[in-house]
Amino acid sequence: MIGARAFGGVLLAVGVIAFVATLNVGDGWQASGPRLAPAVASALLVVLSAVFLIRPADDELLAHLKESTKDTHWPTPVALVGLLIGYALTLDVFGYALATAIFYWLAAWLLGSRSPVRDFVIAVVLGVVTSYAFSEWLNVQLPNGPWGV
Amino acid sequence: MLVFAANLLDGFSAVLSPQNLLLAALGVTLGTLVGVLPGIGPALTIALLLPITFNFNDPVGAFILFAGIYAGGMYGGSTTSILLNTPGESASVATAIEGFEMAKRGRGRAALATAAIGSFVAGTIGILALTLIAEPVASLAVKFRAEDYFALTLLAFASVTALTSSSLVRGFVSLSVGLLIGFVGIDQLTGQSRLTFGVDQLGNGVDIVIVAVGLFAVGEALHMASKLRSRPDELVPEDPGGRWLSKKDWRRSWKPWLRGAGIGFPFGALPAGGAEVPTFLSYATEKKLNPDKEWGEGAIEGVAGPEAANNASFSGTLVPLLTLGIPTSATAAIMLAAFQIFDLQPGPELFEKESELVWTLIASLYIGNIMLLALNLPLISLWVKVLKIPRALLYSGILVFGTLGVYSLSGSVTEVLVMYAIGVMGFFMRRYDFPIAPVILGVILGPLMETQARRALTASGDDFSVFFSRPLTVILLIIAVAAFIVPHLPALKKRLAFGEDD
Repeated sequence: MIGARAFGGVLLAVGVIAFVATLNVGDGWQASGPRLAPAVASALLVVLSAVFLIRPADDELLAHLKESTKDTHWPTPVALVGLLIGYALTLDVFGYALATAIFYWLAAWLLGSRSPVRDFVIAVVLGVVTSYAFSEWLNVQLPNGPWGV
Repeated sequence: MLVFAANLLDGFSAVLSPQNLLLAALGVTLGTLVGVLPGIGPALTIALLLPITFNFNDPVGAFILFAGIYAGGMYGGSTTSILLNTPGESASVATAIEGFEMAKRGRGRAALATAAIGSFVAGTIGILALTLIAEPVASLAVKFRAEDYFALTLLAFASVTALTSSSLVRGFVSLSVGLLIGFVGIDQLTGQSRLTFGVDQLGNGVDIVIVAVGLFAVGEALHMASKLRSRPDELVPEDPGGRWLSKKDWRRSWKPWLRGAGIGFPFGALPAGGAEVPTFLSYATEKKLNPDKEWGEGAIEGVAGPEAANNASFSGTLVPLLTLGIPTSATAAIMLAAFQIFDLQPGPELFEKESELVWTLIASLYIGNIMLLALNLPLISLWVKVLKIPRALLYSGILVFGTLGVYSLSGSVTEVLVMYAIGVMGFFMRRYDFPIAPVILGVILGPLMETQARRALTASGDDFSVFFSRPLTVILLIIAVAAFIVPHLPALKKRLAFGEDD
């Protein structure tokens, strides 16, 4: 329940930030102007997430929470988010093929695979083949990195 | 009628070339491959594979590939529902109830066959119905004004949000999050940047692919990661089991197929669509009409009916999507994005100006269905093997392809990071039971709603009475309010309570 409230709080904060940000849009509140729609949407988010915060628990949610929050192992998803951010940041630096191979190998290990040699082979093949297929056949320019792959 | 039939035949002749058939086969295979992954439905399948179609010069080839991907994604989704009881979207939940029981009792093949053939039969009926009503609706839609479109988008919001969430508050929280994401970027009418917080890359807005891949793929992967220690991999059956349809199975299946199609299409065609209600309605109908069958222990009627309803409802969804440009499900919203890639805006004008293209699309959806029956049903043992790939490798692969999709779309790391952030949000939404479909719909329909409202208001000189001055607009608004309230009437709510749409 604490988690649900915290998420509600984050949504409320997002709503408030968005509402404040829309106040600088345009130069007035005329109905056909650019400010009204995002202001209404963020106000809606503020009000509804406040309602959720005040009274988060209906029966359906309690039943769902019992199932969805049971036995959560937090380090894995947190580490996975870290890994993803690392992946995104290394794409341009290492090139697509290498960054993908490294990410895939580590992610597979993190998600519980215990055959590092097999995973390493899959990772390299995946990185090289997708990089090649997308740049040769589909004309999508993926970053090459310093070694041209 | 004859004219439409001729149009459809023209569509077929455009589709039927060796190259296009190859594309259809490729699409069906890719779609099934991704669609059979547990927890992944057609919406995510399309979002993941959409980038492949970006580089086609010719929209016809892209649509054929795309229609194959869609058909494959649907089929793959019902395969996992039946064999593993993990429906990738709520439209397959009804199928899973009896389908999984059939598979457990060694009748997996028969369940898969009745699902696939039922989808084909319903798809055929749906396409015939679409042929009949699409053009009349399109010619009616020409008369729609901006304020009517505004009311229609409200109707789509109200119905999808009210139908897919167990709580109105959480449903509308999801919707408003989607709307806000949709409003990010430079305002098209005034050129002002909104909600970009000074990040240049956000100027073009947040693409629907970024939102869909984030919410579905990254959200699902994080959810799986959080449960890793507590949940072993499902036991995947060596073989779907049993024989294909026996004579008795055919006899028991054909009526549910037809009834399912009859229930599914009208529900999909209303701009208050979605496939959840018709699939459950079909399930309930079959149960009522065949009370003596083995319900709860694998009654084939319970697979045949809902699967047909699901497929026919999708053909129905094409009516508002193609004639009005209004998507009424997450899958349809992503299809709209595919149109926009080719600078095509579905709506009455598309029917008039590019009618050839529209009928080609319809024909290619049909080809996808046939291809599926011809290629995939016999290959079922192969797809079952896909399910045996360890979860760790599957989800790492999904993350790689999701990242690739977003990166090839934008060429920017910023957008990849935005996608991951949306994925983290998707994880918490799943965890705390906030529905996903309203977010997708908000992103894609929000800007459309705003544009139409502002167009109407500009014409009226900022006078809100423009929304209440014509009977058509008022009727649409009243239906929107009804769509919002009716599913939450206590008596109905009990019958419609079936979780969220992915």
